Amino acid sequence: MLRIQVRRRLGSFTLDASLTATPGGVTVLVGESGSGKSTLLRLVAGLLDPDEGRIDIHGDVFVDRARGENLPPELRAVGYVAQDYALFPHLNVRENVAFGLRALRRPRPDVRARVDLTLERFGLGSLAERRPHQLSGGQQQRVALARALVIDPAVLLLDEPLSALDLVTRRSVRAELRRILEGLSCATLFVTHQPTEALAFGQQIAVLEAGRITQCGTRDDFLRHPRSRYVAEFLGINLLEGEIVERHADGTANVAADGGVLSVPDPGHDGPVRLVVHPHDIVLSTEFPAGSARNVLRGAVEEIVPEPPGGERLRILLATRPGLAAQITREASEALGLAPGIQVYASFKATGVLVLPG
Amino acid sequence: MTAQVRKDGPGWIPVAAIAAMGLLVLLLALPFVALLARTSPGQLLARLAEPSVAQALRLSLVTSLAATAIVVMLGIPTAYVLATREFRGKRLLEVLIDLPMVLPPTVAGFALLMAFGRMGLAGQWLRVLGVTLPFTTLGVILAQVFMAAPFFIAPARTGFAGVDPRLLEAAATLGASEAHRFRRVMLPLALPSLIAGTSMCAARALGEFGATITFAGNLPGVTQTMPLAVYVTLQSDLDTAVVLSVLLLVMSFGLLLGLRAAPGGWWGVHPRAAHPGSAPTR
Repeated sequence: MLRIQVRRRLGSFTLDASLTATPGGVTVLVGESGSGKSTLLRLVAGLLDPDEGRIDIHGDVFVDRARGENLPPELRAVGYVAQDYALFPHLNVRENVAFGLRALRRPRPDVRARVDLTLERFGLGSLAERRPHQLSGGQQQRVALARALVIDPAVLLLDEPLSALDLVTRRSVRAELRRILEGLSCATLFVTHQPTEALAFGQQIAVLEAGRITQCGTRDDFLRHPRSRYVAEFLGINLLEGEIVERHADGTANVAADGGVLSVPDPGHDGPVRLVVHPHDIVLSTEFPAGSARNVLRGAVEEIVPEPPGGERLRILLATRPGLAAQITREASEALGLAPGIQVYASFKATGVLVLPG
Repeated sequence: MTAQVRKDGPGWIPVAAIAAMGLLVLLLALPFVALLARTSPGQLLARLAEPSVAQALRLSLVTSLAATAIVVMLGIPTAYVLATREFRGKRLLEVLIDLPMVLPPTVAGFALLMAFGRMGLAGQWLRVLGVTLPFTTLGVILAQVFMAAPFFIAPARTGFAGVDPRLLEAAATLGASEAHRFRRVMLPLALPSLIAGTSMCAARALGEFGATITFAGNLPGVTQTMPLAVYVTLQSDLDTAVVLSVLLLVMSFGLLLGLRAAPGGWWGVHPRAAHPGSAPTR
């Protein structure tokens, strides 16, 4: 178990985070740039010292401020893959991968055997004599991973491993990276600012906002209990804040939210609540809907965003009150003739709304 | 009217620049041409065998090579520390190291005499140990080291400081100690700068005149290096002066040309250059 509990000031910014990560699992640290995710990685690697706190894995202490212990990076069992991979430009692929084992003064035949095995495992055998600048972005990433993993680290640190790649390579490399990470026995910390990557890679996801972890859990935890607007936004779901105004005998309640009133399942109490509405539960129509949906809102289409970019589904942002995002297929959108400015009805069932305490 | 002036403005700049450059090139090249015009390759080779020329040439080569070797050995650790560490008095130390670049060489020679002369601050102790520096070949080397060191240390320092810190961080996380990082990452990546600094230093040592003549004197075969021999023969034997001058000119030119031939990107494209716009985030 990797246990992190650190505090570090950088100018006016303070990172204050506690986190545990299990061996053999991937923990994704997700947040916007400046939220402190790379700082957290650098603290684990030993490239930055915490002001206070402790980091240890399986009881091996990396740093413990209270006890005055602090291992330099070269004595920590970490593999670190920097954002731009930081391959040694003067060494070829084989020498790059061998670097760690040579630094640790392993016997030469061992180094050779381990490096050969690793090159083969990462599909780098035919590129062994190439210099980094002769490699594509995806190949560079594989070399960086191989170089970090050949020394058998207890912790693997990946700093935005896909951000240096162009869109086309990113898609193929992503699948490959998932396959590699699934087979690892070390604890992996994966930093990204992209929610889609967080959801794709993280068995555990930790959200960093302004230097603090605001939510940590599995993907399902997040979908069930998004704790902040940021989390809801990155999950692509609607999170609305409101107040119970009326509770009915039929088990529903009315909630006033942002200038509108919604019908939701009765949570059994009064006061402020947060509502989760999944975009694919919202039905759009140009005529008043005939169905049984209790919530019908009218508003203009604000923006149409393909999901994923260029994909088959469209995310429709609506200027309803409260504002909503709906998700429909491209075909459905064309059938309705949707375009920004067009007035539509958005309807969804009361039972489809998840009510959380405010 | 203003539009007219603006339109014509840029046209003048290249013309003026080319004129200025032409004048400067003329000023720099003419003396060399004049020097080369005084001699021929045949005459040059014939004169090389003359004892006075051969002696000065040998002494110059030995002393400047020795001085360069000393500067490189002491300069690499110095430049490394200056490039990687912050400490009190660093600025002062940097100025001290750079000072010989701008100090009149005669002043440097005189200061060396005050320090290492027979009655000098350190000279008295050296004499007890049986070491004499002034008016010896060793003194020539010391004067050259003193004057040429900054020409190595400045580029070496820039070279070490220019190594991408992220590469050093990567090396550290791979288990490399500082010594290993220096040997396997810093040194190879700073090599072009170190080579440039070495040639600059060698060229400066080869041409050293003022500090040498002040501190080590002008004894043929012992302290009379080529620049000193040029100065002496200028008054008695113009042809020998020409031969020595041309030799120095060719050697200095060769050193600087060799420096230029060493390309900046010896190791090809830098990973940083491969992904423009990828900046480290927090």
